[in-house]
Amino acid sequence: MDNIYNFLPVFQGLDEDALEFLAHNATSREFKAGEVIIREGESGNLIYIISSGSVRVVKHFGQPNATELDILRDRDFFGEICLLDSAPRSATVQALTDTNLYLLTPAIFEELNERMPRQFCLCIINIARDLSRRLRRIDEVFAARH
Amino acid sequence: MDPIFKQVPIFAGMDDASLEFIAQHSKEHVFPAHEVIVREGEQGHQIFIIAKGSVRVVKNYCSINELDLAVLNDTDFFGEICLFYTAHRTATVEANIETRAFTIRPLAFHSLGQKMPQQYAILLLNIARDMARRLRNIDEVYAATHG
Repeated sequence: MDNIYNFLPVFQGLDEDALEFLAHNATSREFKAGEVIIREGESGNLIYIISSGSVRVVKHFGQPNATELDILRDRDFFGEICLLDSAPRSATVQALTDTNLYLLTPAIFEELNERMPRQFCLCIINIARDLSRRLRRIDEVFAARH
Repeated sequence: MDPIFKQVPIFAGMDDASLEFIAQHSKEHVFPAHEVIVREGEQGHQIFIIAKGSVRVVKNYCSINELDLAVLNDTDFFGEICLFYTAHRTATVEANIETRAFTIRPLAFHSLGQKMPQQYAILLLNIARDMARRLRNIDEVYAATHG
């Protein structure tokens, strides 16, 4: 098993069996600097974890009103909203440097839920914690500007 | 069990046994109009479910840079961040009108997770879905004002 999984915030607290299951079912892929990984408005069903590199998250990519929302680095994750609903991708993600990613499908998480529901709950708690951190940060930005 | 538990979106898809468990571990409150229910900066230990009423969510309450973030009504929830980590309340919540609400402690949800993990997973997915929706909305607004 790839030990990097032990140190990913999204898998924090998971036991060895669950980590093994996820590592076994993940695929990996490399993107070159500048390459678009996911595109706003498209439907998507992969969750991405950055094993090395960095990416930027952009609304209205390539348009005059493009807005950078975030920069993500090693051990960050994105695309996780496809675990929660089937809405189109809400932003474009572009590799800033050559970037190695782990890819997981919602089906893998569904299987984890069937086999090890408590471990699945830990994953969702980790994702929700990250969502609440992002919500809190953006609320602060808004409040500071008003 | 109060019928509200079957109407709350974050409990959608949960079975009767798990809703009964949550209802038994909840506490009912009635807040008069304009009462502060949670205060920004204080430690939070409860999730609130609005049964009947209306509240407003405010940053920098009663200061010159006060900012309304949201209005929440029947079957909405707030205070859910205390499920995920120990943190101070990020905003003040004030009753707009007399508001009946149920509070539930994170410990009750954790017990649900021990007893009925798949029901707990449904609840967590519902809450995370709501947060994702809010994040998406706020990202849209942010991009519209910065683009």
